[in-house]
Amino acid sequence: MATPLAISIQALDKHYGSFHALKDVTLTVAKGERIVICGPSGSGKSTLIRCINGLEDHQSGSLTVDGVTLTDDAAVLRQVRARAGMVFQHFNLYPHLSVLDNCTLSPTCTLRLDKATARRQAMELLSRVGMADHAGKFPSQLSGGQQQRAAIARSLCMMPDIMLFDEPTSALDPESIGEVLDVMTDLARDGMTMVCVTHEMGFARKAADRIVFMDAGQIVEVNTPETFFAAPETDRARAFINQVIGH
Amino acid sequence: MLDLWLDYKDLWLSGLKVTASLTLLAILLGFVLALPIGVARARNRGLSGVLAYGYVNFFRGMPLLVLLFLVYYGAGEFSRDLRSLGLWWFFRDAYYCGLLALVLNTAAYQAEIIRGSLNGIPSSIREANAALNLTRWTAFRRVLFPIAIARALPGLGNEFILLLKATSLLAIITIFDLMGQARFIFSETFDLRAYYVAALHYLVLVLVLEWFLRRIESRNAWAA
Repeated sequence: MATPLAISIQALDKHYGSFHALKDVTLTVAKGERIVICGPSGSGKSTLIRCINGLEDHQSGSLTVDGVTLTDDAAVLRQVRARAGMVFQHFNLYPHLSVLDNCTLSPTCTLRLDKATARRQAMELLSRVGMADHAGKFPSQLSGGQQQRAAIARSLCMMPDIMLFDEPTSALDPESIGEVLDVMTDLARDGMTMVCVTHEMGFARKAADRIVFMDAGQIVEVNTPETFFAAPETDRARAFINQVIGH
Repeated sequence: MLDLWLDYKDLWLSGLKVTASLTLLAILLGFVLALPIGVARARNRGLSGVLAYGYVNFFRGMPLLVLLFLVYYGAGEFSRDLRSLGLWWFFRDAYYCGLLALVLNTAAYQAEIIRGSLNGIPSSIREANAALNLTRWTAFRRVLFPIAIARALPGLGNEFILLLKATSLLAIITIFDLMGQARFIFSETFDLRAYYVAALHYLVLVLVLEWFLRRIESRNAWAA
């Protein structure tokens, strides 16, 4: 039976050795919903989003993406990763391939698209993120913002239903942050299911349907942006917002 | 020195050809052998990891000259068995024995260079491979291998140059490479300049090899 849920996380626990990184995390994301996960560093935001597509394993609890429940089985991981695209903080582009080849490698090798189709699709997505003019360049010839936009296009070329963003603007200068956030806002407007770990509160306010606030491996508060920024329900969230907005 | 070269021009050119062909074949065959061993070393798991570790340390632990003697003179001990296996044509020929010793030796060093460059690939690249659902084979062939080889080139180049000069040891097992020809010409003339001429030939070969390596490296401008 089809589920209207894109992601369902139930009582998720994760340990790194003796460190308890995620504590009893429960969260559901509906199809088409935009979630922003925020919180202080070390609160488990990145760990949580990396668990969603199996880049990190978990010890207990369950995680279901588009009806597929994650296990450590390779075939299951492939199904989940086919549905959920990932954008990394440091872009993780292939340094030896041009932007275009970065975008067509997996579509031709994994999705078995023919070369011409993959190139056409890649060029469409690259122009959507404003990178068509740079398609022939290598990542080392691009600014951080350009690299991140290329990485977003590369991820979209795999035609995912869900996009996961792991601090996509944290390694960028202010001008580049704007470029990348514009692309993300555009995606959000288009109805893509998105889960974004970010410190960009302006983006959160503008694009998020719900904000998930994490601290010390736990979800402390889940709220709409309006309520979250104007009248957070928990003291911990209030303190965090004062810190972030205060200056 | 030019007169010495001109007097024995045919010998020098034939020596040059033998040294160049030995070096080229040893580089290529050594690389083919080193690749799976280097990958197994980088994975460092299971039986293949143990075997690769054993191979590398066995051949790195043995001086090339000793290996050369073991292959060339040692094979004679088993000539009857080798004949019955149909391998005698290979082991009775000094050129093939020398080449085999060079390949076994350089593969151990090349494998370690490949292991180092594979292990040096940042985990972010492997995460991208996972997130993009590349199969292990595609990830290796299209991403990890080209990046590793580009990073390995300076180290491999060094090994190729050492190998080129190590071929001179093969003169001892009757091969008329550059060094073999120099030894012969010296025995004819008692003119020590024969070895200077040989040294110049090696220098030229090293410079040619270096030029090739530089050209290949410059194609990987992205790696900078």
